[in-house]
Amino acid sequence: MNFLWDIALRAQQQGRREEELFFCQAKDYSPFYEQSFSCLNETKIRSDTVELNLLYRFADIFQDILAGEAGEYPQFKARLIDTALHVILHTDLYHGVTRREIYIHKLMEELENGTFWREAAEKYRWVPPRRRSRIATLVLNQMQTGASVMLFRRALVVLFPDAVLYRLKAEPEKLLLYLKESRSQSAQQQLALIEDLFLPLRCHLRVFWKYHFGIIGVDDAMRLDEIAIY
Amino acid sequence: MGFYDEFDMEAYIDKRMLEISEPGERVLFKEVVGNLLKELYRYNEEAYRGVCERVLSEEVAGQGAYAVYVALTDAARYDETDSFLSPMVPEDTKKKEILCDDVREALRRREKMQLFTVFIRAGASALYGILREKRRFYGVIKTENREYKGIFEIKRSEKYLKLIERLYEVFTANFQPWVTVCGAYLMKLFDVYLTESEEIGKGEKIREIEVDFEEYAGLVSYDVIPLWNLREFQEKTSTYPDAAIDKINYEHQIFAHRLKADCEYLVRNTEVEITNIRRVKGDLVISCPVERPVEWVFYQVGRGRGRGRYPYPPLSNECKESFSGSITEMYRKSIKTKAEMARLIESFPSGDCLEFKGCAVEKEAPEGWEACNYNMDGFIQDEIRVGGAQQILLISFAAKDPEYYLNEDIMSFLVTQVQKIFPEYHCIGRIE
Repeated sequence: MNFLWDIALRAQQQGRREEELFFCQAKDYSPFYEQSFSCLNETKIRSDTVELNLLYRFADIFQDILAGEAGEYPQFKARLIDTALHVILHTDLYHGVTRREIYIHKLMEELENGTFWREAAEKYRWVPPRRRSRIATLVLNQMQTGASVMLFRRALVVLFPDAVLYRLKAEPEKLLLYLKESRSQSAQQQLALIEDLFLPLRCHLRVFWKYHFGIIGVDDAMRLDEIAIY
Repeated sequence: MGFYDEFDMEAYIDKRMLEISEPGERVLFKEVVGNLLKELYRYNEEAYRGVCERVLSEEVAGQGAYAVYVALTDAARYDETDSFLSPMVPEDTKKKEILCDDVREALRRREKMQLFTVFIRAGASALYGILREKRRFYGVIKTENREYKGIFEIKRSEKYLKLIERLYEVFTANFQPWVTVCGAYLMKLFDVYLTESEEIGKGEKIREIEVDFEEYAGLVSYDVIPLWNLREFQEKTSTYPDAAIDKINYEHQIFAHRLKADCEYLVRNTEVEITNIRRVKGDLVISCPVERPVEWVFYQVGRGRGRGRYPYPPLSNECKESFSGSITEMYRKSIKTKAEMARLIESFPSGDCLEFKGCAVEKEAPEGWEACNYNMDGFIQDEIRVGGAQQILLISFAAKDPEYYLNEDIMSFLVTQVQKIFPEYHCIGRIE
């Protein structure tokens, strides 16, 4: 982490809300970094108060207020700097926005509110929030390139990272799917969603929950009491 | 639209303000930060939202501009001053008198005499049954003097369906892509014919004709007027035509003040060889080889407004404007998944009475499919179809209200839309 925005995003990932973060000028800092963590490769936000070297990128904005006499209006100054940084943070967060991002964001919105398909909206709710945009990205991808089993597989990996997808050589439209999870409503809804969204209609999917079918010669698949019948 | 949505800047600023214990500093903060930064932040957010909207709107074509609405009204509730819908056939608004002598003449020549048009509020399969059986109905012709018994027949009224067919030609001539018109009501309009009756006395005046439609009696409405949002409109070229750059055509201009700003216009002079139709600052410019001013005949396409004011709500072929819809249109990839099919079907708001359930490829069509399925674009014969060897694409729906009489017709409308995309299959709908 170096910049204001990646610190804020990391904090959010760690469960801190933006309104709890208080940004301020650091007392000890390196002129080569915006961050001022005591460890250069810090990966965790350990406090709501985040100290930054504001002169790194924003010297023009903050140099006068930082250079003023320390005793004057200390509470006001500290909070002025903080709120200004919150405004800057939002501008920062828009920096990487491209047309594609805007598309994906809009698709997410339409998937969520049912404009895309009412039934899909109900299933989409089961997808953990952090994975929703990844699914939306694949939806856009599919609109651009057309549906394929490959896209289905990529969606599968987003929702079930440990899934194993088999395709029968003799009958390529038959797919076998092994999922490590046991059958739960959440998992079923999510699987149904990506089946509807990405699986070409001619394909048939057979799912093995929790237990893998036995494969002779593969010891992991041949444990007693843990073999599904194929 | 933000990418980091949950944050509420105004609440945040208020919260920080309350942390300041020194009153002088708090006032300063309130004025400088509260008033200035809040506005600054809001201004920024607006600007970003604007950018996103502009990017998204690039892809939205004006899909809805030529949407066709079809509705019905009872003659008694017809509103002549309605600016949205007008009668498909203007003569429908005048009551037609049936003359006794015409009836006598027709019967003498053993011809079936067309009397009037009725609307039967029954499902498509029921109506299919009546037509296939060639059902005959009994009734009476009442004159001033006495009643005469008669036998009647019904045939589907072709007049309105022909108008839709003509409209297809008009769309083509205007370079507008054709979207199937939802003609659910029109398929339920029947012409009643008198086939036989007792000899009617000469010179009598017919007061009333009553037909006993038996089990359908409660479902039959007389004197209905089909409406649509196309209004006939005539206008001559406003000035002498300008020579177009290609030295073959002339540009015929019709001034904006002669036209309605929020309406589109379809040129009905299909015999004129039109090379371009465009709107320039509200003026309509038509390029064609005719060098003299032309008496143009148009359809003025009214824009959809709320339903509900009509006894039979308007059914439209308008697509819901959605970003997913326009972007799919943009990339034009073939439909392969269930969700893609569902999105297509759900994009027609007229289909709200049905819910898409799924689809499957079958070898044989389910029994009795002909009764509840018909192609609303049946008049377009230009498709490449392989005939009997086609596989069946069976599309299943669930009806919100299984008793609703338009279910099967709306299904046919939706299936017709899907059929256009899957010419290699024979698409059939089924309500579960």
